[in-house]
Amino acid sequence: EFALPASLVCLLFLLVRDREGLWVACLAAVLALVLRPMLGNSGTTMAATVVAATLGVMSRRWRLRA
Amino acid sequence: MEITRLILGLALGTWLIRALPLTILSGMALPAWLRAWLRLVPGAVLAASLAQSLLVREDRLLPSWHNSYLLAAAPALVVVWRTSNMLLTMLVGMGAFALLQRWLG
Repeated sequence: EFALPASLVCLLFLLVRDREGLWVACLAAVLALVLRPMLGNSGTTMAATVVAATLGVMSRRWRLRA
Repeated sequence: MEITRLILGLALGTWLIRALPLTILSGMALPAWLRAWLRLVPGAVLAASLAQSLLVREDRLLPSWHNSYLLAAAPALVVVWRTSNMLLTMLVGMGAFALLQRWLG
């Protein structure tokens, strides 16, 4: 039962190597938990991913402009 | 025969879904913002999936000491941090989970 979460832990740790990727991942995790009661099983992961990645790109642009 | 056609149809559909974007996008230069966005997506997807699989039980948020999934993630995280070995991480995680299930019920 824990095979999937264990593999996700491993993949996430190996994939996220920079600060930006880390905070986007954390944001996506929080958003997924917040959106789950509203969206249910389907769509939560996708919505959280889209919002978090978009905010990540936007913050990078703001930082570059500043 | 019906099943064979169904399998072939599904195979064709899956191939088209995967091959078409690759074919169309291979000749294009993607804008920098889109490449940056695509680079962030895998980590976000994994984190969103992981958070739900660790913290949501029967459609309820369960951030407690009785959540075996959450507790078993700690040794898995330590193992991947120290070894970067996926198989070992999974084995340790599953072993910890089995032990916790026994102790916590």
